[in-house]
Amino acid sequence: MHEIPQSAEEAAALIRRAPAEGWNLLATGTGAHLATGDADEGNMVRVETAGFAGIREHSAADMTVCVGAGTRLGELAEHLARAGQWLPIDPPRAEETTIGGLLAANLSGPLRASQGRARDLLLGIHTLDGRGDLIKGGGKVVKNVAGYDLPRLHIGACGGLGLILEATFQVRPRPEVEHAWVAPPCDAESAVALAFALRAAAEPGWLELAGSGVLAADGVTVVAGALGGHADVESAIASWRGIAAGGRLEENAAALRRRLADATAAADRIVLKAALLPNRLGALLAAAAEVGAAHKESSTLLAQATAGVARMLTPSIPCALAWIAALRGALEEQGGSLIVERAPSALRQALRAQTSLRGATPATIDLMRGVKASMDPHGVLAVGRLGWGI
Amino acid sequence: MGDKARGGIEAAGLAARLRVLVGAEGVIESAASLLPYECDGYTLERSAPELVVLPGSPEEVQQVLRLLWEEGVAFVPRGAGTGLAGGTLPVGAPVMIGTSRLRAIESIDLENRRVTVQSGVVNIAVSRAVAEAGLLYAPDPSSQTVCTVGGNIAENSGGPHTLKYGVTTNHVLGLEMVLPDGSAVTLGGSTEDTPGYDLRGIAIGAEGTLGIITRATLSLVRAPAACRTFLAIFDSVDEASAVVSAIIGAGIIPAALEMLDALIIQAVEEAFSVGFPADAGAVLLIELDGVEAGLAEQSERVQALCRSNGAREVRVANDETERALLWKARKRAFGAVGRLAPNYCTQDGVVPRTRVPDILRSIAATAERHQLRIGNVFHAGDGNIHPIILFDERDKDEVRRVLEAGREILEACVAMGGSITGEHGVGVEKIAQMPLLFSPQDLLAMTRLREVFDPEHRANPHKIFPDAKFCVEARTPRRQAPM
Repeated sequence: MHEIPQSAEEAAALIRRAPAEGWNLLATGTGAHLATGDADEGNMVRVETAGFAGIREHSAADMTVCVGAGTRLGELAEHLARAGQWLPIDPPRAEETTIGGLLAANLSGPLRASQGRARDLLLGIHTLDGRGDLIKGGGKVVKNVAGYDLPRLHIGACGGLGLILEATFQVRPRPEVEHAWVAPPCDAESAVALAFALRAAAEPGWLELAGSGVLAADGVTVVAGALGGHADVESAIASWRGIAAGGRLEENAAALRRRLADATAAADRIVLKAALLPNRLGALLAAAAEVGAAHKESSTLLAQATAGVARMLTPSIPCALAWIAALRGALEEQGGSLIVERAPSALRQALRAQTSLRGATPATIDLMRGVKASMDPHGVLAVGRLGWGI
Repeated sequence: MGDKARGGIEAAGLAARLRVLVGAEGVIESAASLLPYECDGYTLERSAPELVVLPGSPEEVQQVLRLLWEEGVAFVPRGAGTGLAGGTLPVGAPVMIGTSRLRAIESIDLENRRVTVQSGVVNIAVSRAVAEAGLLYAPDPSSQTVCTVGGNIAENSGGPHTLKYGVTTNHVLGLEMVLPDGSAVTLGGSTEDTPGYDLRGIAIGAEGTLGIITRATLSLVRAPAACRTFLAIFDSVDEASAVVSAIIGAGIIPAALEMLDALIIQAVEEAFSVGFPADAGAVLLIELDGVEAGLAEQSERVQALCRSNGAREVRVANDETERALLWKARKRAFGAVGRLAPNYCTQDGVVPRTRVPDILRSIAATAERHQLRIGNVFHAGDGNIHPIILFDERDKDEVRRVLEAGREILEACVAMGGSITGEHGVGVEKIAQMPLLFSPQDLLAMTRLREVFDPEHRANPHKIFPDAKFCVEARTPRRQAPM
């Protein structure tokens, strides 16, 4: 079932009807990231946000922009570019990603290394809670500590705490130039050591590790991106050239960066995401490659060196299960995590029958349930999408 | 809710039982020793707690809160007491819990750029501990030599460098908080991404109303390799504001962009003879930082923008000594103002940065209407204003006009699309202004959230949210601390 409300009032009316109708409402934009939820979207009533699209207010001199939740990032980027600005968040499939999806799924890409993520750029938000009430949090100015920080609570909440209507972000000047240094491929441990050495030489705009099959047939390729003024970028590239000799300069670095972001969301793949301390990435990537050796042809590894995030992609359920069995326990023990970040609906259902998609139940699950109940008391907003039944 | 009269505390023999938990040195109960705890940097109201407890470890915080929970006693958390909105004023909470003994830097992980500290660690101590490795903890409130990490997290503190580096919430990976029932929870973690809701985001800036922060894992940034500092002198605040917009419009994000207006310039000049022209209308302190390569070109552009927008003079710091000299005018502004009047009161409001000239005009009109002198020294790049209202507290009518003017200024900020507080918090001071920004439903949503963590309103009750029972009536504005 699909609904396309044209106003906040229409959306609120849907929410108010939901308990009696037994609806579990899932706000969706273009559907580009439907594969990111835990519970399957099949039984949910989709509330499309197309009626809340558009740039409400862009104050270039204030470096802020207020946009409707259904606005595509591609459209926003075009608009901001005309003022020499950007919202420096680069999720996979950015063109078709909507603001609502970006926030609900907490999407990001390589730029998080220097520009932060949605939580670092979001200033304010308008939502409808599970009662159908309009709830505003934050504001439209870059500095504001009045009241609880509600905006951040919606980031990564999978739409379970409110239907996002619009959001205000701070934006930044577009960098004059973006270049990258692509190092020659090497083994995983050496690649992580190299990434740290590159960062020590010059702070990168982004710092990605691409496993076999992504940029080179074999081995892990370190790619360091530099963005900013010409002099800063040239100086960074020069220092990296000295450390990762034998590499190559990529002048169309933004395109390469988009390609690396898109590679983390291949449509037919199960995507596992590990979060860990950055200096443990080498060991993790090596172990993941070993466990996935039997599926080497179809599996892919990618990582973000400064964030401490690794992604493992495979179309194979046995391969995904083998990774989870081998790696999740140790990661969780070290304070990290290994989750199924996305998977096509059929694979997701099959996986869920055999494992927890999100991993161990958080120690704070009672607080999370309490937060969910306080904002969605009747359980009508994307119940089950976050994980652990909420 | 949850308050207990003095008699109740005595009847429960609370002090003795707390001494068992935290040691004799951790319980303060004599009237004289309690005096320093009767207010924080917001001295408008004073109310000493009946007991101050200083736990010696995060585990002792849990034991103390468990005891208070069982006895039904509400509490106020306190770091260094540098807050400027009365966030640590005891209102209906007889017990204050200080974090001053939670001073351990528990681990430093240079490779991963993280530190884990107890919440009583002083802000500057974090940066000092990692300075040799070329790293720093970015949030730098002006009280950073005394204020604590826990207090910074509770207030989501900013500082002069937030324009480029962000505020506290952008630099906290995880924190341990003890809930009012004595249970400890970890929100966020040691990794950047953690599954589930971002509960850490709610705890940061909650002004101690959800529990007591006992530990935090902070992320560090690389200290800038180089910086350039300028001081530009203008005939008017409009010209200086135009330069702020021009710099940002040129795609340059300075590390700091601070403005002083005529009244402050004269005060600084009279006090310290730093060489400001007597008739200057505004001074802009601009600092750029980054790697050496791009700074030369950027600083040329900034100077050119200053000149083309009417700067009569641009002074450039050529070395660290000259840089310190330029910053002196900014940092000593409050000391200078202290010489102009017996008392002053600093406000904290935010407007979109392009509305800075408008809010300054509005403040001037307010000053004239109420026959008050108001100076401005503030974070121009963020639109975060800090009007300083001069007065004499012995003049009761003037005091009334000061409070009236403060309210009008905040109302003007909100009318221009801004906020009632950029970095000081709501505390008790701005409760009455919350409805200017938030609807009853917004406030109810926040109260419901609070009750997930603190169902009985035991943690720092009667703060942030309007509540009929403890309506705060402002009488004497005496807040003088700089920010």
